Amino acid sequence: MRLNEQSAREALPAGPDRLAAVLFGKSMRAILALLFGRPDRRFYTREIARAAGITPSSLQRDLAALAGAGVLTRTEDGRQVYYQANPACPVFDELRGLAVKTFGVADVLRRLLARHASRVRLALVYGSVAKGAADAASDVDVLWVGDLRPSELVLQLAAAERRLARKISVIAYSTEEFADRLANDHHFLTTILKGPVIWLIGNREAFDEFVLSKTRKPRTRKAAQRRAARKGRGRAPAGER
Amino acid sequence: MLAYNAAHALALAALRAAGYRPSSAGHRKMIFQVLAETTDAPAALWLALDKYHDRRNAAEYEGAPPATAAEAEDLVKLAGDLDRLVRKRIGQPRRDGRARR
Repeated sequence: MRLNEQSAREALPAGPDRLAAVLFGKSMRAILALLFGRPDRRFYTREIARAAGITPSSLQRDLAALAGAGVLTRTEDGRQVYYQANPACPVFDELRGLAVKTFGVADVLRRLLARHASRVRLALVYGSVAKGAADAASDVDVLWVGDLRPSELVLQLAAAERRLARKISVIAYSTEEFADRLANDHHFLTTILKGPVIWLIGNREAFDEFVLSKTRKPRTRKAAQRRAARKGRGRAPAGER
Repeated sequence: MLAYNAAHALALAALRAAGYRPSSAGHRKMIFQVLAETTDAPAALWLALDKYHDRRNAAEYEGAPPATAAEAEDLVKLAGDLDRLVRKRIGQPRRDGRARR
């Protein structure tokens, strides 16, 4: 009986951050997050350690194992040893996807926004990083909806940029403006939402719900117009759009 | 955009008041990055202005949408903070070689 309860609890879908913790240890996550977030670049050990906020010595074992398995390439340049994500690794694309969606970009940004969760209704990553088409110069494009002002997060964003070795670009909407732009089929937003996105706060269902709750207003107004038209039919039968 | 221009003009005024001038046009980004020197702007302020500078460029040159109402409001507040700092600094005697902190 107890066993059943437990297995039922375990069967619940885990959040993306928990998924990563289950699959990889802390230093492994840090290495993969940085190196597969920037597969175009090579990093030396201290650089990885600094970005991850852990000591270089605790990275050594995982780095050696990953290089030994061909997940990373190891090159020596003078006295410096560099590691880089290995595009020839048979699971390169899968690891890059995992790194970006779970413990890499998405995780760093989720943690950052989680502290302000009550003031952010929706948050997502769009653009090249979400598409998996990011190159060396690509920013992480973030959009959020709510009362959180971008200037409140600059220090944390700067830390996240160091951690990810990528610049982060933010576009912030208030709930009202976002709803208004959506209602008017704002080109920028409709393009983003058609393409692949990584949800940081909320998800596709929450978004659809949000859209429904916001589009209900004009509907009731129309209904009110119809009702008014029905009432006044005797006087003005035609001319109703 | 208006708020961005105000912030830029203020940052430039601070630069001139500190005895510097941009060596040529096109040093918009630098003007914000030296605010910690030319005013006593805390990192959170000049970093935020620096971010909005990038945001302005993305909107101007890279097809990003223009500033949202929320962003404009945020930037107006930042420009106000900068205005106070610049006025404070301009009221003080110019720094000589030895920087006082």
